[in-house]
Amino acid sequence: MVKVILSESDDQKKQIEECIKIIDEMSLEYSKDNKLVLDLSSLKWMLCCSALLLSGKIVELKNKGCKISIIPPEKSDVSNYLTQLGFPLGGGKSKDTFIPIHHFFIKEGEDSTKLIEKEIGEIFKIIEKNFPSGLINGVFYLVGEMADNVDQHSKFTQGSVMVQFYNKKGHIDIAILDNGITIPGAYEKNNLEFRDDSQALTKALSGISTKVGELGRGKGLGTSKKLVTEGLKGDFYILSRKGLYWAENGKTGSKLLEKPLNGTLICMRFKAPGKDLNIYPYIE
Amino acid sequence: MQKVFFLADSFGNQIITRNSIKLFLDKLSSASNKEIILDFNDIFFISRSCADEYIKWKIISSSKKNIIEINMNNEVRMMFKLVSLQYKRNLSLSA
Repeated sequence: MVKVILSESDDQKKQIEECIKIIDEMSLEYSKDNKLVLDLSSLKWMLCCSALLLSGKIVELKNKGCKISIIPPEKSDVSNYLTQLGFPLGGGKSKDTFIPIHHFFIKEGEDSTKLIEKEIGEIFKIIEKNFPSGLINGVFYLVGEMADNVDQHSKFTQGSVMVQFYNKKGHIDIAILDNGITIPGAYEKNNLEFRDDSQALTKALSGISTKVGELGRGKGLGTSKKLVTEGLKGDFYILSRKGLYWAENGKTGSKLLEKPLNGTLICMRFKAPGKDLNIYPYIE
Repeated sequence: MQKVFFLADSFGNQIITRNSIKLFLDKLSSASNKEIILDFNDIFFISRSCADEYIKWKIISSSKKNIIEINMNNEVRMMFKLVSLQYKRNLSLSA
């Protein structure tokens, strides 16, 4: 049995690190006898980034034939919130400003671009219909750039996305996850040098692209971070293989985790701006 | 001879991924028409990556074809303007 206990706070960095340990335990448990019991009974709180990470792993194992039992949280508000997020399997119905966890898969011979265009196109329709007009372009930019990165670089077979706008609190959570070759993995594949996985992330943010020699490449990640942290005064996180990067409360940092994520997670949280946001000064 | 291409027919309301616009632009490149009119009606958003791909294609193609853009909304126009500036800046840096 794997017990899911996460910090009872809004500390995304801490919860991401805790989730990576839980994901490792889940893999270990599955490898023993193809079964997994996930105990969420003591869970006091789960952030969007954690829900997406754990849901992605649950679906991955389920698709491998693992028999999974989930003991739900005892706290009903946590249980209800997770249901609203589409936890554990994703696929819940989008409602107003809530786009719950959504997983998508590349089947053999399928075109990843077409799949991403379809999935993200559907999400854009909901955003356009329900989000405050001043926010739409910013969210389109962020989701669009992240989705294009997944399509261009990751060689994923499983992708996951969620976008939540909490009307009352006025903040937005966006998270995108893929099980692809990771940012450090893409650098290795293209013979780009880096000291460790966390440095690969800072290099990617500074615009060092695997598409060497092509002008205009490698800007998506850095401009997205700038838009979130400077334009929207929010927080931005990247987890790719063993590298974790964060920009939160005006400070940035990166570290190397003990266990890797087999893929890349990008998540961000920011407040809705009071007036229409002009995104262009931040993405120059 | 000119031909009008309605981008919304190929993309819906948003142009999101670099690969999708690349496929579309390859189709335009192989068209025999000397004058191409690109109708942006109903395109509400273009990603920076796609605008970048388009600007590069336009620079290469403009010697062979006359490319005319119509019905472009302000947001799409702004994204093209921004990416053009970035492209010129990058060119001068790499020169």
